[in-house]
Amino acid sequence: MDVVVSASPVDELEKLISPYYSLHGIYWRGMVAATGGDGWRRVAGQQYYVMKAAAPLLEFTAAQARHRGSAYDDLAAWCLEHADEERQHHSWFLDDLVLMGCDRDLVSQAVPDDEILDVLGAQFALVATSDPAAVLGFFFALEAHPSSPAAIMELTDRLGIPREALGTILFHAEEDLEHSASIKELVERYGWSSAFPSMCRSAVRSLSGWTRLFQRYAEQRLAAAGSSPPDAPGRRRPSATRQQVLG
Amino acid sequence: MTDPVGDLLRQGASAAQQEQERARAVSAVLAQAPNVGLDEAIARFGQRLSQADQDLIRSLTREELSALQSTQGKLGDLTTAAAARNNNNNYI
Repeated sequence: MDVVVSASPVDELEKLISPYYSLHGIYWRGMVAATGGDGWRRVAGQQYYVMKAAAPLLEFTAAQARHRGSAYDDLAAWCLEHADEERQHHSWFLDDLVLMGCDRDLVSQAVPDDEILDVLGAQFALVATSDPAAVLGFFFALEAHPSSPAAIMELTDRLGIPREALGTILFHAEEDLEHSASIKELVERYGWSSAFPSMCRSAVRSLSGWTRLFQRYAEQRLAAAGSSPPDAPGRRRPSATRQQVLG
Repeated sequence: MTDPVGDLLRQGASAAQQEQERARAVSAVLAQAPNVGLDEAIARFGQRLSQADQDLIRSLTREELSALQSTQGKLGDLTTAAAARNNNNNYI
């Protein structure tokens, strides 16, 4: 990966990962078109694991940052503050998933899909082996461009996802607007250092992992359906099957 | 003399580079499609993309292409455009 920081690190990071957003965007669209509400629920189930891992990742990063000396104090402080904010979100989201029709025990006891394990594993590995500030790339990709609440609601209405199940997602969409400012400040702060390539790698691994997940979900549905059309967006099942949750 | 560790590292780097080239090609096609049309944009910038990638791009509507011009659109507003489509096409 060619990384040359000559302008603002935020701008450079944005420029570098923009093509990956393109891939992410077309495969998200393809997955939604192919799988409808079922695919949306499966993706939401995987988002649960990312939410659940967020606070431990931030605490791990803070611990690693402390080993690096005072230059990393700001990063460590942000990580601990952000970890406190994120700590309960997966519990809220699990309640939302139940409202979407997912089985609470299946979701909470299952193992994340391989693509999400790769995404999360890469973050811990980059923090441990490269630089604690790498984690900023992950949160930049995750939170710097939140979907608008109106877009989320319009899509989920069409897919038959109940509005009452959107509490955590909509809360995140609003909260991420605030978070993105502090993330960008930290990218500016640490992006001039040798940490920048790791930040880029972190963001790219995150976007690429989600893209692969969308692609697989779409391909699985189309393969299973043969030439028959995917479920209509409004179709709902009374409860999630193991297949829905585990893929 | 064989170098298995070096081979593995080179394979990893190669995979990352291929992924980056794929992402850049998709991005270039999406950027040029509003100006020259999808087929021409794919012919110019996306010939090395897989058939699945090309088919997915060809299925984009004008509204979706427009949404994909911005990062926000790639991640957010596209969701609306995607849902507004007829949901019965096979895209991949």
